[in-house]
Amino acid sequence: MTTQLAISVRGMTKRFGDTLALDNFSIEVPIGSIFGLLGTNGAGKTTAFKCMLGLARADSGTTEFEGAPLTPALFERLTYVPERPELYGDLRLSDHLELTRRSYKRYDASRAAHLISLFSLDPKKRVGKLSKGQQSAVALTLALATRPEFLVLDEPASGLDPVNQRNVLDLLIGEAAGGATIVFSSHQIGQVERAADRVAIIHRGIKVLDGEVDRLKADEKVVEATFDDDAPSVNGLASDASVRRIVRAGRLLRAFVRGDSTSVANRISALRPKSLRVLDQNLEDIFLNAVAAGDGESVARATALEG
Amino acid sequence: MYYVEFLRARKIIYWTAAWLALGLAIVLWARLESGPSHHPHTFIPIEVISAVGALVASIVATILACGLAHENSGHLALAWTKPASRAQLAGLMSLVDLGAIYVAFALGLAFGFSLLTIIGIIGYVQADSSTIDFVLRALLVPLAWYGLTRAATASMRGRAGAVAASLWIAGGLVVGLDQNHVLGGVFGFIIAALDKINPMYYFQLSFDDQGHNTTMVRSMVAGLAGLGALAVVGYAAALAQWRRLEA
Repeated sequence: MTTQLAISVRGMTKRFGDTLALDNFSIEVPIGSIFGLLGTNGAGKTTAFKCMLGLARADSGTTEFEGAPLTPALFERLTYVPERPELYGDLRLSDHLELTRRSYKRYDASRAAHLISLFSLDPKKRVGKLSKGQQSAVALTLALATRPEFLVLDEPASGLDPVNQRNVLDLLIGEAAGGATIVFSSHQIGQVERAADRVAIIHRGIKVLDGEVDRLKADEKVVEATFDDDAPSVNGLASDASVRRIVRAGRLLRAFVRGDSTSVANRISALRPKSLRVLDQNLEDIFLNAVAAGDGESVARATALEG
Repeated sequence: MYYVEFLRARKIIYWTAAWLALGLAIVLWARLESGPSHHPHTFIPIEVISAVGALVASIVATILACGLAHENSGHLALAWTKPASRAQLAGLMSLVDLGAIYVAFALGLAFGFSLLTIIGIIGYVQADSSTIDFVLRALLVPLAWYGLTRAATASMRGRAGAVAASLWIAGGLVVGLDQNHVLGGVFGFIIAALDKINPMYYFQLSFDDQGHNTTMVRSMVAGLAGLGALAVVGYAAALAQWRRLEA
């Protein structure tokens, strides 16, 4: 059975002068899924969102929502929360709610009231007087009060305290359970891992990895060994096609492996480590591997030094 | 989706009304202090009152015309994710502005009427053959300022207010140089050409000894066409910029 796509981005490219912000970027987001877009600062996540929504003009590429190009009318069902909430600082939250009520037929006052209470917001306060986290909460309140079917959220929990970050995560999971399709970016990889069923990793405008979170994690292992002295180098391991990255930090050796890790584990075992274990990779490891692969050895080396 | 513009326009109208009321209060106080006024030797053209309306409305129009620049100063992602095209959004905003401009015009008329009443010369106000021409131009000149300012500021981020204010200064300077033929040769030609896109060229409050308006563009049709063209072309130019902006 073919999965129905809510959002399909194909071959999107965007240049700012000499800078290639997006290079042939493509993603497919099934209906009702939560799609996490990961990337370092300046990787192209915000540009990708803006091009998807027509807020910036892509040099090439297409975006389709349920198989059709974006039209202004679709914004009745689609909401966007930008990285920096573009609210009117001199207006109160109540004014923003009124603006939203007048602009969207789907505005749900009771939903808005629930969200205001959840985030402990004061409708009478001028938005410009609110903290960055509170402004993010206002932007989310306005976005979710329209009961959208498509949510595009750029760092939606940015600046929020841990309690409200968890609230946002629960809200997103709840929206998806209700049938909404969500695309969001976050630097909190733990949040993405918990909420998203699919992820794409973008680095320097290029998508370097894309897939279902569970499958990516199942396919990626880390072979971790400790030695009595400094971890030795393993001849030929770096050139093994299944090895994404090797980290040597003091007595610790980690090899990040895609697919079957048995042969890599056997080769490291031959060096007689003090301990050896094969672990599943978490999304953070997968992200770092993908970025390192994008950057080449320089990032791998930097990560090793940090480790 | 025009609600933000409505709030903005309402705030500007409140401030305009407050300043005009303050002005009237000062005149009234001065009138009470100075006693009876001297009566004029000739009639006062009714154009004076409509010129006050036009002036107030034109100032308000210039401020409101910066609305697109206001949206472009960090609010585009919010503005453009409404279920309306950019042209519709700009159109709705302009309709709100249009309403506010003519409310300001009415406030200006009320101010002018009240001012002359307080001074005690309202009975000397008369219409003449040029009144219709002048009143029609007075009604159009705020729209010309609106179009010109909107075109000049539509793609700006911040500092639109400074640009709008400098348009008035430049307008006054250019029409002064042109009308008095201060510059000759190429410079005179350039000034004359620039004056054609200056609302002040088509609408002036200047009278001869007999009280007849002596505007540079004498023909009513040419004056109205010039003001109308500035309004329409300016709006179209602003819309073209607005549609090409990126958030």
